[in-house]
Amino acid sequence: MNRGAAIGITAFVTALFAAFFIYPAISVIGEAFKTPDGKFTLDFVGDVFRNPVYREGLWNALALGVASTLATFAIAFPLSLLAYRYDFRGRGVLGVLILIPLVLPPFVGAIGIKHMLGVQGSLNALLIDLGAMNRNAPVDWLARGRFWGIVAMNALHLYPILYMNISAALSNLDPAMEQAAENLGCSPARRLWRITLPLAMPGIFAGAAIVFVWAFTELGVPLVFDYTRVAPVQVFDGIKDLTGNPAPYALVAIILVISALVFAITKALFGRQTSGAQPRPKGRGGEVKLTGLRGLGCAIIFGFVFLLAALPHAGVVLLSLSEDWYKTVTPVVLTFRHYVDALGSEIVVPSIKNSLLYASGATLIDLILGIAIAWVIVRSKIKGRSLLDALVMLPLAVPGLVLAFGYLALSEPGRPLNFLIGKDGNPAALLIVAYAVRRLPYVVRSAVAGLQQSNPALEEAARSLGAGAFRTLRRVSLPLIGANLAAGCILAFAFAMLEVSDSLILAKQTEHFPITKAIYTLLSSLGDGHELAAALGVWAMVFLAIAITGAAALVGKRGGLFRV
Amino acid sequence: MDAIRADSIVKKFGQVTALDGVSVEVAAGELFFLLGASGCGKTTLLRCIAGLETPTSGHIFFGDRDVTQLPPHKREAAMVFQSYALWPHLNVERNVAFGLEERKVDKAEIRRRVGEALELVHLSGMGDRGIDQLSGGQQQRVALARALVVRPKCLLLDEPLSNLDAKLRIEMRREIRRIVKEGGLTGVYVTHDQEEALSMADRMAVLNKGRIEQLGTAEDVYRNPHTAFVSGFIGETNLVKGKALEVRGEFAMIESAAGPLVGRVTRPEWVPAAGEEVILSIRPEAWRVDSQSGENPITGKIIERSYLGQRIQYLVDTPVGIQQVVELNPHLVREPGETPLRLTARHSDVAVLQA
Amino acid sequence: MMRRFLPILLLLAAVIAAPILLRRNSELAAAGHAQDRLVIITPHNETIRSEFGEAFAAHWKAKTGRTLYIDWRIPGGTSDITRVLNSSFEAAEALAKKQNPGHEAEAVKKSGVGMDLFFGGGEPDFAGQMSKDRFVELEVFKTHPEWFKEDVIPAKFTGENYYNPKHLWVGTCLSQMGICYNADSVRRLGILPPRRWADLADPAYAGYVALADPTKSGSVTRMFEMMIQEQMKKRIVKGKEDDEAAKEEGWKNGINLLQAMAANARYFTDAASKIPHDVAQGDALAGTCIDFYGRSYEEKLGRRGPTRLLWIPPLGGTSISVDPIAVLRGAPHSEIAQEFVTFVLSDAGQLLWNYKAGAPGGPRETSPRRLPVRRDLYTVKNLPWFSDPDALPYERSGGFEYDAALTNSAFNVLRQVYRAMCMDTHQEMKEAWDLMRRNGGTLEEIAATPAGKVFFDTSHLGYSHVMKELVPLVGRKDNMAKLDISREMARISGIFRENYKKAAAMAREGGRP
Repeated sequence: MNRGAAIGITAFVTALFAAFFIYPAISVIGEAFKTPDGKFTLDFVGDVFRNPVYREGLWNALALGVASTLATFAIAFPLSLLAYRYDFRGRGVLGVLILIPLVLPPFVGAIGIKHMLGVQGSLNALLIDLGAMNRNAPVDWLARGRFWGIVAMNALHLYPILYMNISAALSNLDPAMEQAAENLGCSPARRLWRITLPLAMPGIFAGAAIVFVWAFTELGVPLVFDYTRVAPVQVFDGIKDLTGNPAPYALVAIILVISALVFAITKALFGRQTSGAQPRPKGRGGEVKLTGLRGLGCAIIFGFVFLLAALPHAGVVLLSLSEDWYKTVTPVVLTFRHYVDALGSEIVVPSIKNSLLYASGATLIDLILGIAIAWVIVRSKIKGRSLLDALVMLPLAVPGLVLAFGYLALSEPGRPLNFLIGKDGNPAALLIVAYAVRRLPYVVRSAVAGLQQSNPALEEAARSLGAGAFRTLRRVSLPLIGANLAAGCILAFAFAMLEVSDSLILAKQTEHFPITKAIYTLLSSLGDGHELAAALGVWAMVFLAIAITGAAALVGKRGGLFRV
Repeated sequence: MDAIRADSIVKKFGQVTALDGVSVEVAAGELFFLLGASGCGKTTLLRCIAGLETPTSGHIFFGDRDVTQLPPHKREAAMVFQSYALWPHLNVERNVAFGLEERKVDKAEIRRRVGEALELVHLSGMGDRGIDQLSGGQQQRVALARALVVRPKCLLLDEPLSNLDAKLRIEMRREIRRIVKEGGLTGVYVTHDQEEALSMADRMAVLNKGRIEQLGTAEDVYRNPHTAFVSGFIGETNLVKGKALEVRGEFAMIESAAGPLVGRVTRPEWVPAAGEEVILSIRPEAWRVDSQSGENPITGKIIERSYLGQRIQYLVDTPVGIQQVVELNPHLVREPGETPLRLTARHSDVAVLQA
Repeated sequence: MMRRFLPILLLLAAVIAAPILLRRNSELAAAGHAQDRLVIITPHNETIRSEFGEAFAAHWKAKTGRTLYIDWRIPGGTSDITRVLNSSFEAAEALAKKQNPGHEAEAVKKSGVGMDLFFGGGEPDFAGQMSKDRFVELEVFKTHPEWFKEDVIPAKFTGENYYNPKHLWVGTCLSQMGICYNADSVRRLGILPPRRWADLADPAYAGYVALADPTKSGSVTRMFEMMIQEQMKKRIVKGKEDDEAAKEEGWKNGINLLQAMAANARYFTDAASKIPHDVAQGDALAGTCIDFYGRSYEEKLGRRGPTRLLWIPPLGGTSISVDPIAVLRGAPHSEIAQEFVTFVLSDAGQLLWNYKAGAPGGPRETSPRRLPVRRDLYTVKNLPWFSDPDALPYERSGGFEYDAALTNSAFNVLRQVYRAMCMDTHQEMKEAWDLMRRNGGTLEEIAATPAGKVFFDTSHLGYSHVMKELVPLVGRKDNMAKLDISREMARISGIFRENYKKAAAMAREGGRP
């Protein structure tokens, strides 16, 4: 790539990040490094390390991050491999269904899982009915084995990220690679280890990096289990604390540094470009059609994962239909009135409009920026590109609340980011920017993986035929990495629609609320608050599920990603 | 080394029939070619032998063993892919050593055999290079070495030379044949390049639309084509329409627009009936120019000529259509013009084919 | 290609159509179309916002003929609101100074944040904002002085302030902290239902108490403060109010009680509705719960039979506080804001708090279940329309008086110490507690064991030490304050952590109590 263009893009992106990420983040986290007379100090950071409670919190967070990533891999990799290698009945539908975890709405998701797994919840009711549990001594699942419970829930929530990235990577593989190994005597199992896995590494790394940082900084799932000795919960707790304690900000800074380090190390080890010199794979994919029992077996595996991952969703749906759901497997009385009440609330229609606007705007920005950034990282040779890569990933590691408060303070009248607030205090531009900054990593990671796997010669061919940089991009590169981009954009859009922190803090006026804040609002209604919020949550789930299915169908044929 | 037998292989992909009942027998130690145009099914057949495709019906035998249901990694039929399929995350040495590692050969032995294989393909000392640092020809040779080093029961080659330049191609043809013969390997080679087939094959099968049109040695196929397709596919030929008049033993007299012509019936078990429409195949080099006597005389006018030094090519307009004519070591360059030109062709050089 | 997407597009359209079709009509004009606007920042729940919004818009229309849109700002709980107000005011003040060089002080006095009212929360939160001069005088004091007599809105009740002497804020409704518990679970476990705060410290409840988080809410801190006061008052004999030893003993008992309750706690939450929900679902046995949530859950669950969730004010242990309202400095619509305050204190506004849904002059859809602050409205004529006619806060206060002199200055200290003693160290605390109670025994018995003595050792946190050393420390505003305070709290936390670990070790070795 043109060196000048690469430097230009890097400078531009760095400037954007400096203004819209680093500045707000530092304005908040900076508290941890300043004495009141403005001098720089590492005392607060030191105090965090000296305090065994915070040390343990960091350690637990790291452990959760690593364990969750491995568990996520254990789910995602076999699934994507099965979908890639075998054609079985229902593969298309199941391939989309298992992306369900993506669409769990906030707040009510935790409530939903508690209705399923709580002391008097669904699961226990079922076990009691089956006689497997004593009615007077129900097991408190959420209080036991909390660490592994969190790992399991994280894995079941995050595997779509890894699944989508690995699938994209596999679909870019030249089937001849595996066939050559097979031909030389490599059994399918060994082939996996020696050939498939190494060649799919770019995709695996792309997804795993996101999964790790997410699990490392995950707040909601530990709270479901009331597991508070973990850094993200300590940060959240500390920030909302009225005592003005600087410790949480120091903790955030430490979390950031650790995330950046882990990312850099794993990228050096696993994220290298491995293929790219190969010509594009020819037609026949070496897919095996599975029929009968074996095909059924595959479908069952997918179905099983889907059912497990959909437990919280089932909880939310049942909650939204219930009058009073207690001690029974499903609510005894079902009603639709919560839907009428919730969807009829005057805040809902504007919130839908707002969410769509904010999320689409952010995804569009991320698509454009993401492609440019991935380009620099993969195709250029400038020195700073690894730093650019790490910089772009950082937003994932900063707790949403921290950034939200930073944006809040900086967007007040008279402050630098106030220009993002429109007429009548419309925060649309601010929210789009905030969403875009935090979703950018998904698109960048996917685009990077795609470019790493595609052959630069294909682009060079286009250039030699007279196509300028943009036309090459549009006609050659983008179609080539289409599957990867689709994966990244789907993730970015879905997560933007379900975003919490910025939405709560920055959308001040009701007419600007996105859906997540509307759910939060309904939650506080007296009496049926939980059920109303669940009803709106279900609506959001259905909407996103349809949108994602549509996107999958759009991409499927060309990109080989979902094989719909 | 094993003999390979493919028995009535049918392979369908959805609605498309790629192979329509194909049977071949390759003797042990033979270098056998599958020749045909794109889409004729030759690669599919090769992949069936390799086990990368499963035939819809039919059987594959290695020696006496029916290997049809045997998975590819157990067949010991090493393949050289058209795209080479070298693994980018492994260097040359690791690529070549791969099959030996799978066979649990011990490290020292691996090192030795890899060295030998690289030497065989003239790539000694390149073991630690990365794949992306190699030229096309070098990559092809690594792919070859990788397949050879495991001493397979048979060697399968899928258009291995199609990505190379002409000079390299010719050199590699010799090398491959030498290596295969010296090693006593049974080889099945797929190509669309008939020159390659003619120069390297012990025997070949010409495929067309999923069927074998003709099977035989190079000479067989060239001099005794069974069908118009085969005669047209291998080398150049002139096709002339006619009607059978009379058959006498191996020869038949055919009524053509230039009068009666006599040719040889090449296709076994077929005797043209009197009055049956037939096609005559007369190769450009079969036409003798301006000879006073000779069989099958016709007369025409030169409309075009190409002087190529070693030979001269004429296009001659005759009553039976425009004929390509080739003369080796021409002493005289005839120009296009009105002067009539007498052409003759020996009976045995004219093939009589079914229309 | 379109053919394939048609079903998807149709589905999407159908899904989007649902809320559009179900949309209800509203008195409140849509944002852009109203003639007037009012901006209110509030922690109040959707029910209150919706009912008061509609009622006031109707009132304003009737009074002035103009349509009104209320812009509710709901960043979350009181701690989020505090943060937003601080952030906004600081920015506004900085801007005012910059734009008016030479007249900074005046400009700051006039600077506002585009919001009119701060409605709801606790007195401590209002005290904080008030101390920063962010409120303006309320006109209702001048226009309706008759409302501010002892028999209408008293200045103080149960020791709590009901309005500000300088007229900067006024209480609008009453609330009381209490205990909610799951009768079904209590019965299943064969234990007695809770009656007092101290019952939540009963080891039988271990792991199943849902506690509110004092570090995020002034009202919750106040609640814990009251628990300590209850214990202190038990020890202080009438006439001997200067007995320091008695105060120390009472204080220790109070702190130990907080410890035991925290040891029983499943979590500390700042989401008020989480506690009654979890208790109702059986994920907790009992919890600290504010009255209106407790009552509304009682009603909801009681629709089909006896309710399994019960709410009680704890015997002898809680004051009745108010949810205040104030007009913010620099309010852009101050006339409407003042009118809103007057409305909320008027008969119509006050009865809206607790009248049954659909009652004449009551809420349209759901009753907020809050108790009016005006004493004079608890009449024989009105009470039948109340959702909670038996609550009668002014009669049934339980006799508890909040004594500011006793512990009020330690308010901030208490909050931080609670975090250090119970929340940061919760893991070690629970571990020790589980080991100490595995052989059974009451709270007193466990406290008397060697392990228990170590667990409940608060010698480093005595009453006079807290009042004389820690209160000044936490009150410091100098440069090193933040660092010193956080270090001191870390030190205290460390002591408790060590104690808990030691107690755990001792309990592991030792046998019965």
